[in-house]
Amino acid sequence: MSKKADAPDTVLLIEDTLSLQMIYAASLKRAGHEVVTCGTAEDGMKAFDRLQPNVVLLDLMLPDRTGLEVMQDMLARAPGTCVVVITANASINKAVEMMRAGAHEFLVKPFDDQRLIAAVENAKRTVRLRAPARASVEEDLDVPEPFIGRSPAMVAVYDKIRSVARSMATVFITGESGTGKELCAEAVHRLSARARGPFIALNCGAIPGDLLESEVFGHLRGSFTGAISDKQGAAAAADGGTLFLDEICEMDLALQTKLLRFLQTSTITPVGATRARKVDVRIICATNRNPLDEVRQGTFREDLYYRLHVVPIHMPPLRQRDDDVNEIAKRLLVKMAREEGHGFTTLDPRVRDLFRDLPWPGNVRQLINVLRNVVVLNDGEVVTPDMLPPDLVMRPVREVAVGTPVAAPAPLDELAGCTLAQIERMVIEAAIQRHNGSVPRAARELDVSASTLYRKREGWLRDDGGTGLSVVYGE
Amino acid sequence: MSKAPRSSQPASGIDRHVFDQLFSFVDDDMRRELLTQICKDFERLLDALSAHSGRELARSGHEIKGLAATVGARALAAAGERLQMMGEMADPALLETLVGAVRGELQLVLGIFKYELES
Repeated sequence: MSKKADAPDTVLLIEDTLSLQMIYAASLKRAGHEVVTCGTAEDGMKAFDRLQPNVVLLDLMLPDRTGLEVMQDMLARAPGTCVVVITANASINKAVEMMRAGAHEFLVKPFDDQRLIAAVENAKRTVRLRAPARASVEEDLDVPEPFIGRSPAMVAVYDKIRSVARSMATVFITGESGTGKELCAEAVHRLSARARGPFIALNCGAIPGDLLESEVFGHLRGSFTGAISDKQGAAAAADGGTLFLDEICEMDLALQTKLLRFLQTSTITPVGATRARKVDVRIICATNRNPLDEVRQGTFREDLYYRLHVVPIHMPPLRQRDDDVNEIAKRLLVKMAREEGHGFTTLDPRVRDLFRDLPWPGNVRQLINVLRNVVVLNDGEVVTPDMLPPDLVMRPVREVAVGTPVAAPAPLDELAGCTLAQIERMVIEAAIQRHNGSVPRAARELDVSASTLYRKREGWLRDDGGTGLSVVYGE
Repeated sequence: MSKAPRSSQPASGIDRHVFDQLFSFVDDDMRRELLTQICKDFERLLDALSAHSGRELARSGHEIKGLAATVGARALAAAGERLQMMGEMADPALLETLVGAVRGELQLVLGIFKYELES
């Protein structure tokens, strides 16, 4: 919708039962809201186009069209609209369907006037909170900060982020390592009505299994050896905000059961506690794997999967983002050059062509390391091909697909001449490949902590100038 | 519009607490206007029960449920819900029983609202 809004503060109420329309409108007017009422989808859409309201109360069952169709039309015309769906049908499936389609809230009849007013005020608050964040990136064609890039794949992601931010729906983010899954989660949080609340991120794969429960739900002093004081878990710390659970598929089955209970009851019971405590947390989770495969393999609970997988967002790899790679590179280059006191401002066209053609298995994280290497070791205004790490220029990057069978280990004779560090790297990379890119599982096999492997891989990426070529970048 | 505590066996007629809450914040003119509209809606829904299509009856059951629950007519809401759930699949005899139950409760509730309107 490009024309100026006529009455964005007016609440548009579309309800076909006239007495209910009168009751809802009277409640809202008493609370100080302006309300325009309609009884059919057709009249409702006309009023929507005329008023361009920020908040719409929409009955799910209208005489001429379904509420779902009406809502989809509204969100296509004005994605920023908060649609509160009202229905006498309390089906969870219906609620999930509507939330997935972008509804802000779902009210089941009968609801009291306070509940109605709270829903409308919550929706208006969401619109208000979102407004400054959007204004600050207006010049960037509405790209949510800190994302860079306008490729169609990313524009679709931005649209989804904005739609889902309006609702309370659980978000399941998938994508390769380095594609920005945590940035996506932060963007959803920042654009939501919970933006003023905490954003707590927890990497389930980087925490030993026996400590993870305590990290998520907290513990009481003395509840186990080493529990020298009470500890607030991530779920309690995120009360009123968002809890981001990264590498969710690495969580063991016992803890998955507890997470499921937490999602069903919104209560947490710290380790050693006897009483549950209610918390108000929105869950966003992420994985680099195909979660459905994990369900099929029995490593991820099916019921938990369906609880979490309400709104999926897939972060595309850098190689599928057209020229985003150069837009990102240019921005990062200028920032890094400033930090290092160097004068780089742009990329040579040959570098741009190369960047566009590379498969970037480590995605943006790999690009960052390449640029850091260039900026630290060189100076000038333009990045030329000779400044790039040799591996990146000379050797075609080999992309190993997740799940590719790994060659048999090299006989010891073939390792002659390799340093111990090189052999260690080969062993670790082979283990990661054997586990389809899962660093935590490789770590378990090698009997080291996952964080050790992450640290080593970061180091290799730095050493290679971002071309840790034989590693499958897919944790 | 406030909900009263639910019981397993909803009583016939209307829940006075919900009814009073509903009209507690409106003036006399608005009260009359609202009562009139509720009576019109219930009369329209009573007519709609003459339909022969299970789909139409299920839809009426849905609307009856929503309106009845909001005005505190809990037994009518429960009957409307049954009609909504079973309307499309019930055989003619069961459908007639379901419609009869909704009609009886609806006439009772409508009578109460008409009395309120005239008093």
